[in-house]
Amino acid sequence: MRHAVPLVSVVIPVHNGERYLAECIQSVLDQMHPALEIHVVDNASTDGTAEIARAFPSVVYHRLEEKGLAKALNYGIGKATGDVLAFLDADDLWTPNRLSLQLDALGREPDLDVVFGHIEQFISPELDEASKAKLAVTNARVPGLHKCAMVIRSESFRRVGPFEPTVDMGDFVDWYMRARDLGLRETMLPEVVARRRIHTSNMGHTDRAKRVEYARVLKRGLDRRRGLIGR
Amino acid sequence: MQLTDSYEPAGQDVVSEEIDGEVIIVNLKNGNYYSLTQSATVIWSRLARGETLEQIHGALCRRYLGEPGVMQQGLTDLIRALETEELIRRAAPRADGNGAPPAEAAVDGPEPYLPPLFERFTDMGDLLLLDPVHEVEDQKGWPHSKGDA
Repeated sequence: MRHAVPLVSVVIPVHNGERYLAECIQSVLDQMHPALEIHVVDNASTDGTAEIARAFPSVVYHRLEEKGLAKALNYGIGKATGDVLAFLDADDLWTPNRLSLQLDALGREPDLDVVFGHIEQFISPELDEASKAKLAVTNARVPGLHKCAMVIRSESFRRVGPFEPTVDMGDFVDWYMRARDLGLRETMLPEVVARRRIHTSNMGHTDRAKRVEYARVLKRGLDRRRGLIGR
Repeated sequence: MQLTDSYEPAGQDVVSEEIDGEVIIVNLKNGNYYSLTQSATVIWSRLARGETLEQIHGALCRRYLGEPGVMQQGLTDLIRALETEELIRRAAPRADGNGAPPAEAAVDGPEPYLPPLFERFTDMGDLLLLDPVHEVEDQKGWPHSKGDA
């Protein structure tokens, strides 16, 4: 790494995220890591997202009109100058000390590219009882193979390349298959590093048409492995 | 298993799509995913629309040059494998099973029989098992530029 204390670039893509964004950013600032660079990429929000992001002096705010989650992520990654990259969705939270846990793991093993941790879900407190009753949300810790639970060396991320902009729901599936195929070295910490919020905008998402995107992403991954398409 | 039996994909956690002559099936209950190729794609598309095994077998015999008994064995072996993986379940015969045939690649007369190929992949399990509930929903979700795939 270029710095004695690694500079961590955190990319937070957000679209109309005024409700939870402040709490999300605060969970990053609470890490107490001395070398943080927080890029909030506001993807065409029409609510108070910009004001909330700008209220944090240490946040670098970007506005991107070209729409798409992967495009927003890639834009933020393009602005990142850190030794290490990390991500957070605007409605989720990092757990305290996660960065130090994950950076320690990277520091111990110079050959390690990626450090994941576990994730737990929580029901957003403002949900009414009727909505909560419909949810089958487990609080169990699950291995967090998710970008919000990932810390990765910037040079390793760039070897894999950006998120595929044509993919919506399976963006991380696509990226992670490419990472695996390149042989990136990864580890999974036993600790919970991110908390995923279940709320009214995501709790009911079972749309089959979007789920089919997983099949398309996996097909592309298989074809890459077969040498039928380029990386 | 009887020739009069029909099956269907085992619920909304089983997602499939045919792409470039290959059917990819994702089982979001266990995180496995699968590839169906050769005559397995014909079997899957007809099974998914409610055809009985007899009807599917008939379609295979019309499409392929091959021994009917061999094709029936290939069909029942695939059905057993799909059941074992909990990708299909028995279903009541459906009206559309006798309707228009599914869209399949046009062929000029029967072609040599290619046995159904079924592959299972488990390498993305932990990732696919992460509840997709977290992703954006249609109306309130992430915006898209026109023309996005």
